[in-house]
Amino acid sequence: MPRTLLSIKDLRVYYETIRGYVKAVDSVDLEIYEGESFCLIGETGCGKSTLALAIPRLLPPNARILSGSIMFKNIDLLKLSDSELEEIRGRDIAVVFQNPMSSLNPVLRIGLQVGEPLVAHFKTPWREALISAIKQLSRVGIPDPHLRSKDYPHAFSGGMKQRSMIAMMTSCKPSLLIADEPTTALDVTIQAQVLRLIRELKEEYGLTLLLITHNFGIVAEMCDRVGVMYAGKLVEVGNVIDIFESPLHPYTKGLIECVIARRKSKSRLSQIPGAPPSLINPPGGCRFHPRCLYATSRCTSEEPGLIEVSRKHIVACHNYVR
Amino acid sequence: MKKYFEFKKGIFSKPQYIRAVDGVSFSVNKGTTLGVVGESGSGKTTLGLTILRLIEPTSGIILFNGRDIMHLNRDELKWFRRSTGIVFQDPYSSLNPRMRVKEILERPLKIHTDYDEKTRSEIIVKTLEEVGLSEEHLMRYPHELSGGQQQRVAIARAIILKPLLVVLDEPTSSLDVSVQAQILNLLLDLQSKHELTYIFITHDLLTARHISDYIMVMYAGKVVEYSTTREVFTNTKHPYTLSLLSSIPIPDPKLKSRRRIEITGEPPSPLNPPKGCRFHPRCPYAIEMCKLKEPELLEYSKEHFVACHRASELDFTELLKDITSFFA
Ligand SMILES: Nc1ncnc2c1ncn2[C@@H]1O[C@H](COP(=O)(O)OP(=O)(O)OP(=O)(O)O)[C@@H](O)[C@H]1O
Ligand SMILES: Nc1ncnc2c1ncn2[C@@H]1O[C@H](COP(=O)(O)OP(=O)(O)OP(=O)(O)O)[C@@H](O)[C@H]1O
Ligand code: SF4
Ligand SMILES: [Mg+2]
Ligand SMILES: [Mg+2]
Repeated sequence: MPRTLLSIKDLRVYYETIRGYVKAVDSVDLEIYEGESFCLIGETGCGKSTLALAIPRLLPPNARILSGSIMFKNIDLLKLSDSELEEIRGRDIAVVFQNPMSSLNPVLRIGLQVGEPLVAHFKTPWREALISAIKQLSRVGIPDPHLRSKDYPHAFSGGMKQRSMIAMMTSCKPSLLIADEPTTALDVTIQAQVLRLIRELKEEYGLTLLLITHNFGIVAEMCDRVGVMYAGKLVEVGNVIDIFESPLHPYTKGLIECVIARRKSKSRLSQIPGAPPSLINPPGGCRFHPRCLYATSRCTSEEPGLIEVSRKHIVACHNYVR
Repeated sequence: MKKYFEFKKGIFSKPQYIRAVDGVSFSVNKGTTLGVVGESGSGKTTLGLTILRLIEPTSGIILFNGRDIMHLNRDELKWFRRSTGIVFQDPYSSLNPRMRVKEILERPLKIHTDYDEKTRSEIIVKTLEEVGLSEEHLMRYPHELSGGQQQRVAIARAIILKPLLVVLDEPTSSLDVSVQAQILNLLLDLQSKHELTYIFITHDLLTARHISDYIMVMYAGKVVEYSTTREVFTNTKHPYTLSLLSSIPIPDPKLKSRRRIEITGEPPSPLNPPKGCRFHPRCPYAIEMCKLKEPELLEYSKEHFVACHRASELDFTELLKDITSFFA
């Protein structure tokens, strides 16, 4: 039985806006096991980033955590003060974003930035931290790390910035690495390099990986288990083979078909009708029902809970089909 | 860059020919799609804009329907503009935010036709319906539409004059998978209905494969491989195409540990490309000659053009087995 590293229960994160509350994450339960690669997938605006960034509490100021608990190594992160959480962030839980410049400081040399977490969290002397930083930069594949560590971020290409951010984020060997679309802005060949780097570091450091993506190719290549989100809800969790080969939720089925059908040239792709709903006033019952081919009257009125179809496969649907 | 394009439409709908780069001629049948793939900065957009004469090539000629589009008189240019359309990647920035859908679609009709208001309205509504929208969207501004709906408006604008050729520059890249599927279906439907010829620019090889009959692979401003889609994917000849195929994440967890060649380094700046073969600093198969001499784009077998010194000796079939197995 795998050990649980992170256990999220009944998490609700809403955004306060003038038009009302955006129910970005609504009563989500999720367990992530030690050492696994877990992918969160779903279309734009479904709440992936909100869910993932609630863990290190890196949410925008108008976000409100209305309920829930986030147990990480037997500590409820939601109960920690900002300064207590600060300790854990960067040391035990690290985050890599799509845009590396959201973490890199444009006016600080790369080497200093990569070494800084060691100084901050482990009181490592700067001299040693800088030596570590150079090693770490070399580890992530920056050529001439000695010289390049003295560069400012703007002198780096997109791929090199992303590598540097990964170097910085993994310098304290965290146990959980959250990567939010880390390669979306990169070219495919560079994307392949960065994904491989993440896989290797994961093995070397025994990291647990929470990866957010909307690319099913990346899901297939990177992860052991998958969580599918739709309109603020987690609608299905299963291991990667099951999600691809026997998805249970009609939404997952639709997405997988959209992707897989590209095997055939010029065939019509099956498509999910309509578009995702507003999260201010999401549809009642199952949030997917207006677009669902399997919807029954029950779906319009009663919200489906998560059903454990097998120990490893969970779905939130009244009419899930095997 | 030398850009020679030739679109010849014979009287009896014979193939349209595209003559591209370094004087090699390619043929694309009317009503089919040429996919242009390559990474950022490889020159895909430049190529698309050049074909439409929205930017001037440094040298070369572009023939469309047998006419040299660099030397069109005013009437011919007007005819050329009418016969071509373009759709950009980011629908929002390509639609004027201060214009309603109706005005956006009316503009090309006003410029290029002398239809009266009533006829224009009819055409607009009909085109909107063709792209899966309805009268309800006529009076909306772009920001009142979803990304997918905006892209539908952009497509409607591109086809409203019934063009022969449409350049689609990453039309689905900014969209979600389910919306991508809707838009790709729409494009295929419109193509078969109106016999449209597409130039489909994308960095997504799976999408290119899905929609294209022919594929052109670009690297640092050069065409490195060109052939039928099938040939490019199953009988890949250029090491760069191979590395692209190795790099794309394949949506099949069973192929997770497939064999791949992973190239190091990053694409060069198109302004200052490496000497010799532009790919040589990253190429796992480079030999001395690659540093010195730029390979020409040569016809390696029928309709299969490759710009690589080692094209005739390298065989990637083994390496490609797993990927080819993914495709039906
Ligand atoms: N600061 C904010 N204020 C109000 N609403 C917000 C804010 N940030 C996000 N949202 C909304 O919350 C919902 C979830 O957003 P989130 O960024 O978590 O989605 P996502 O799944 O990560 O999407 P993407 O794939 O586009 O990154 C969206 O509907 C979004 O518009
Ligand atoms: N052959 C060339 N010689 C010189 N400059 C070029 C050449 N091709 C493209 N460029 C320049 O390179 C830049 C990128 O080219 P372009 O926008 O066409 O690439 P792209 O393949 O469309 O990239 P993206 O995927 O990022 O859209 C442009 O500034 C363009 O002017
Ligand atoms: S010409 Fe040489 S460097 Fe260029 S792709 Fe072929 S083998 Fe590689
Ligand atoms: Mg996000
Ligand atoms: Mg472009």
